[in-house]
Amino acid sequence: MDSKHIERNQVVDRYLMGQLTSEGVAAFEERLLWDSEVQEELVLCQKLRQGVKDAGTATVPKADAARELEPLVTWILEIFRSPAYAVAASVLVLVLAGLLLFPRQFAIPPSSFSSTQLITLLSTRGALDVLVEAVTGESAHELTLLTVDAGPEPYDYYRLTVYREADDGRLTEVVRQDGLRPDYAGILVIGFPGNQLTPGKYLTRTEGWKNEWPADRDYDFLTEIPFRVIAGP
Amino acid sequence: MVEQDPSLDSEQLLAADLAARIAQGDATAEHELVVRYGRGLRSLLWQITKNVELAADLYQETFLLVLEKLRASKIEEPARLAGYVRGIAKRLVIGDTRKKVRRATNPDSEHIATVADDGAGPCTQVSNAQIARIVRRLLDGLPMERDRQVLKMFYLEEIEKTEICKVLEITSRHFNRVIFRAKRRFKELLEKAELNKKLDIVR
Repeated sequence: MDSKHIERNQVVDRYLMGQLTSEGVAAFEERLLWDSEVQEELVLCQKLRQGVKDAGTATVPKADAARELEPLVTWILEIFRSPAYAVAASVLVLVLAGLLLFPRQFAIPPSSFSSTQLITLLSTRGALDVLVEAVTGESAHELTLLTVDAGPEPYDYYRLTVYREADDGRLTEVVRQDGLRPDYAGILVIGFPGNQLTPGKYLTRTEGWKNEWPADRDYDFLTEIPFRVIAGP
Repeated sequence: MVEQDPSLDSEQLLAADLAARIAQGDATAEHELVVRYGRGLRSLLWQITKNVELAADLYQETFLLVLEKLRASKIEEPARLAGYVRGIAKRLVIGDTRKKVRRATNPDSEHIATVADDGAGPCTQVSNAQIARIVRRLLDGLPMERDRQVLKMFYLEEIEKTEICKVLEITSRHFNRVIFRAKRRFKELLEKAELNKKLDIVR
């Protein structure tokens, strides 16, 4: 049993799951005794397995105070999710952020927007398999705000890119914004004309950058979150 | 030095050499034996018993027995020393020596107690909750839902690879790639979290 065989056949994972034959178990355990790479792989696989199980149950322990506030937080989030309240005063900060960070690639002056649609994509704080749906904007004068959770690890700047995904999986860039910084709640926001999102499948990619890095280094990839745009009523 | 047998691989040659030197009374070789197999033996015993204390006891007893046999040149295939150590460990677990006659916890070899468990490698300072968050981030970062399904079916539902490939209509190669990349990404995220944790402690 060599290291290539162990890697190609997920031997460590299968050992942990009890899927190896008795001969396979014996061969693996003998190797485990002296091979430090196998020992580290075992620890890694144990943690990954446990992590997937814990993430799958999606119960993150909360402090008592947070538990008490949960109904209020849920209510506030429902407000943000509801399109009827999207233009309420409580969204003003996001609107301003979206206007200030309006990509230069669009020729429409940001001050000409007459309405706003808010698309909220939650990653680390939200459920794994919820696919967000948004409604296509009717005109270029409808501002669409896309908000994304920046994630737990702090970066100095972020880049958000929105791609449209074709049926064959090819991605075409719709809008990209560099130099983003999250707000107090750790949310990134980008704004663009509503009619840029025609019905179809989309993907947002979030990347992070730290100031101490050399200029020729690329952004760190953080998340990719799909969402769908449907035709309006 | 043991005469080299070309049919033996490097581990077997090393094992045979260690066995020969211990039989000749070489104390350094005894230390090398414990260093070489100690960490792996701890992992194995913990994996089998899931009991830290029992694993620690059996760790001591395994090496005591192995060293006794090696000193007396009573191991038939010294090149298969790893297999012998494993066999002894498994027998001790099955025999449940905690309820039987116990050897003294003072090892007669000074080397057994002095080789500490360095606990090296990733994941030593990161909590389970943080690992779950890392995994969620890992899963969120996968571009295709199908790849997330691969990981969930394999790790959560523990379905065998051939079945997963059949259900999701993917090739074995694609499956291998998904798992390999997920582990690599997981390791990167874990090491970053580990580093941040250490920096927090230093601060």
